[in-house]
Amino acid sequence: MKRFLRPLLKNRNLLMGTVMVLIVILIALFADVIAPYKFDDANLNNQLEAPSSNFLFGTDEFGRDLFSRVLFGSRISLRVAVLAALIEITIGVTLGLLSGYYGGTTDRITSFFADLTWSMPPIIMSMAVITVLGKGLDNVIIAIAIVSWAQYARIVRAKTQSLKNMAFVETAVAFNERDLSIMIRYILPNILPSIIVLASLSIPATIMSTTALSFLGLGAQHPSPDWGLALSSSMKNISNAPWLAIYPGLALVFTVFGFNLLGEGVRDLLDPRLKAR
Amino acid sequence: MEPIIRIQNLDKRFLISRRLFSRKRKVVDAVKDFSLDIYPGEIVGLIGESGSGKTTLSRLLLSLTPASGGSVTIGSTNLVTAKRREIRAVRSRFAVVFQDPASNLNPRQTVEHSIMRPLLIRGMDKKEARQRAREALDKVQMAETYLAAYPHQLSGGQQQRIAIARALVMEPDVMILDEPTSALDISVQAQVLNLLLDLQAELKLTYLIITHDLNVIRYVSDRIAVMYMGRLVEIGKTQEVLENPSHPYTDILIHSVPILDPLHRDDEKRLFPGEPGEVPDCPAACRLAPRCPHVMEKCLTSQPPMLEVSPGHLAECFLLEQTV
Amino acid sequence: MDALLTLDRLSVDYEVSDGLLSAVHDVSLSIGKGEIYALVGESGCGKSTIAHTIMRLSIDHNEKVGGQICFGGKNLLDLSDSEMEKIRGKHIGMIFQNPLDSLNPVYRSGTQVAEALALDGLSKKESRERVIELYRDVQIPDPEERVGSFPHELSGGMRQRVMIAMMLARNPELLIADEPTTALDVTVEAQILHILKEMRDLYHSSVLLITHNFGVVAEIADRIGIMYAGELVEEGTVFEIFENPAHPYSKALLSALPRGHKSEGRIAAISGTVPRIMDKANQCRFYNRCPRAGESCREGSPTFLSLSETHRVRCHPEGI
Repeated sequence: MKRFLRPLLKNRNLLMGTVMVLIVILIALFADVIAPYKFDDANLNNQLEAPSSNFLFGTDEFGRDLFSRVLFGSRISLRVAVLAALIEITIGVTLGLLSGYYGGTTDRITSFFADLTWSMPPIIMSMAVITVLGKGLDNVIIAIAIVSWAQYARIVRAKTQSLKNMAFVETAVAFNERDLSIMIRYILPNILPSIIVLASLSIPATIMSTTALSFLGLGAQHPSPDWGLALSSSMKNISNAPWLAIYPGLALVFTVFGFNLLGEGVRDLLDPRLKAR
Repeated sequence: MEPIIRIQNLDKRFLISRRLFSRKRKVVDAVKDFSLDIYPGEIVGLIGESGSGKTTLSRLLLSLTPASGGSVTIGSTNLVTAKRREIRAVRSRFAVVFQDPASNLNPRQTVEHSIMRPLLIRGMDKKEARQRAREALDKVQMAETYLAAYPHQLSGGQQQRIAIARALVMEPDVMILDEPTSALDISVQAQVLNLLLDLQAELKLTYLIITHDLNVIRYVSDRIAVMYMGRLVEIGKTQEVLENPSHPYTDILIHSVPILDPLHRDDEKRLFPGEPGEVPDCPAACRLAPRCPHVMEKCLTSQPPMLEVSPGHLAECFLLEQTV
Repeated sequence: MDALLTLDRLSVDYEVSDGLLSAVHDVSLSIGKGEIYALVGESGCGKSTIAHTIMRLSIDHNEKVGGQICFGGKNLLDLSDSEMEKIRGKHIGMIFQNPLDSLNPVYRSGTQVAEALALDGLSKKESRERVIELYRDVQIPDPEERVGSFPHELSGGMRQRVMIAMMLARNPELLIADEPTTALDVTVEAQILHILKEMRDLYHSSVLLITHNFGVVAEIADRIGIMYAGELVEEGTVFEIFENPAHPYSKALLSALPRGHKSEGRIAAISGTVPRIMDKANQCRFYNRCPRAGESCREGSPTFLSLSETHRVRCHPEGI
């Protein structure tokens, strides 16, 4: 246990990031318990009230408690981030492995699509996908994944190409190891650290993108407590009820910052160890 | 005695583009017209410098790269024309140990797993494979405790011994060792070379040892094969080739190696004239022609055939025609 | 002997996670003018560390250096960075193992050699002529053309020759060569060694040759220093060391070299591995692997015994 704690403690980014992300995760898990109200508990008697002991973050134009909404919003952000990451990684790593290992036509086709999707601005691309699939958070996840898989594919492809020529892989081919087995047992485990680093740094980007889409009205729909949506609807009351923008905004910043620190920390942790080998 | 492997006129061509945007492709003959019979129980040392094609040869024998021509016959199968299934069957008769100890083993697999893997692929059950791994480790004189270790926890010499254990566990007919000790310290090299000799004697193995180190080849080989620019230029029993080098390149090679005795430091040195990579303009010429100290008219226009110096000792050089 | 470089009780320790690693310990030796001194040993013996400490190419904050490096009347370890810069290249040159890594791939080879000359204030024309002359000295064919070639257009042996030319450009008194031929083919190695010998004869430079290759040492060294686990364990002329190695490690090392055919007898391997010396163990560092180890070997590091004016060994009389 000590061996795991020491690098954690030495690496401030990792420590801070882990703590912050843990906080967000715990909030998401226990929102039901912590939140004093339900996120869609409307009460027209309490419209647009400033923060008080009753309503820690104030209320919105429907009388809903902002504090509770912000807490529940964490679930949405995390869910989107994790799901998008899973889809991106699955597509990106698979295509990266195949194109790196086989080269040739497979590589040409994959690289073409990777370059294509990577050059599209995420928001615009997502808007295009939404136009086809319709609004909603799930479609936003798909849209983000379509735009972002290429970064994984690129790294995985490059690493696969160099690992393929290493002695232990050639030896495995020489003792009749099958292609799929080589990709899974020999190549994938050795590129895992890079994938982890990439994932931990791309999650905050995903959160930002999905928030932006929700802000534009393309993602989460009412009455969802999604932070982006909350920011969007806070605009009309920005002068008389600024708390409606401040608290969701802060929650967003806290979450993205936490993931960024975690990502940096993970990268610092894994990279020098790789070099030491 | 029948040879265990019969390599005949093996060719491997690579196409390389001359420049970034050029359509013109240059043909490089990495291995050309290579013929060699390897007999059971012998150690053949293949020596050559960079560009000789020796590494390409090992990859051809393992079917890691397809040949352009010729044949490699093992049993009744010709590797060059064989189908995938036949190749897989023949591959199991070989085992290979490559040069760099650090990249010979999967960093993510334990020692035990690395050694067991080839057996599991063959369908052996885990229990038996584990037992065999244990035995192989013992054969390379490493303690059982190393089974749970990861490669990065081991020294270069230990890593190389694990690679040898993995090769042994397959009970190969032929072990191909590509620069097995080049990356190792002197004392570790001695350990590994002696280990290889012991194992060969005990298990009646056949080795093809590929290296650029003449001292190593002289020590372990029964026969020496010399490669220059993709061709086999001389072959024969170790003592014979070293005492009576019959190809000019072999002669230069032997006399370029620094002698481990300062008293002989002022002995006549044969320096290799010309520059590495110099090829004759005429493709039919002897490859050594531009750099050969004994070059004749003939050498510039035709390829010398393999001529006998004495039984079992052959070299590709026109000079030998004169002595016949 | 007129000493050009003297190491006086040189020690280099590194702060690592589990303590103080002793990489070089109490090394004292002198290199004379116009001599080739080979520092020989296996990996981890400290020979490369010594070369890098003399040149001070990089600053490692975890490194602690003790003792003196005397050159030209000064202790190099006391010099500031700018003073050291004046010495590097002009008075002490260095060539490395892999010449491709040492040459900038985007500049022509001649330009890089000329850069060294520019520091001496030569005009462009004079520089170019001098470079061509140097290329000729190191036996690069067609020097007028080769000065314009890029590193990747040159073979390994040629690149190494360019490196030698670069080092000789300013005619340093001492040339440090760290495994100069290890990455080269044997036939090319022979050529490079030949050049190094000529350079010593022509330019009277001294060479500190760092290598693990005894063949190279037998070929060109005048004197040899054998290192083990950070210490100098034996020193002598090349003939003394080869004919009459005294230290058990030297003997073992020389017997581990393959020289003849297996039928003539097995080479002897040394059991065990090189230890990592932490916190300056106060005993002979070869103790656990020494076939002649005795009780006195554990009572402090043995001192040097003189076997002749030039031959000394760090061992007890019973061990030799």
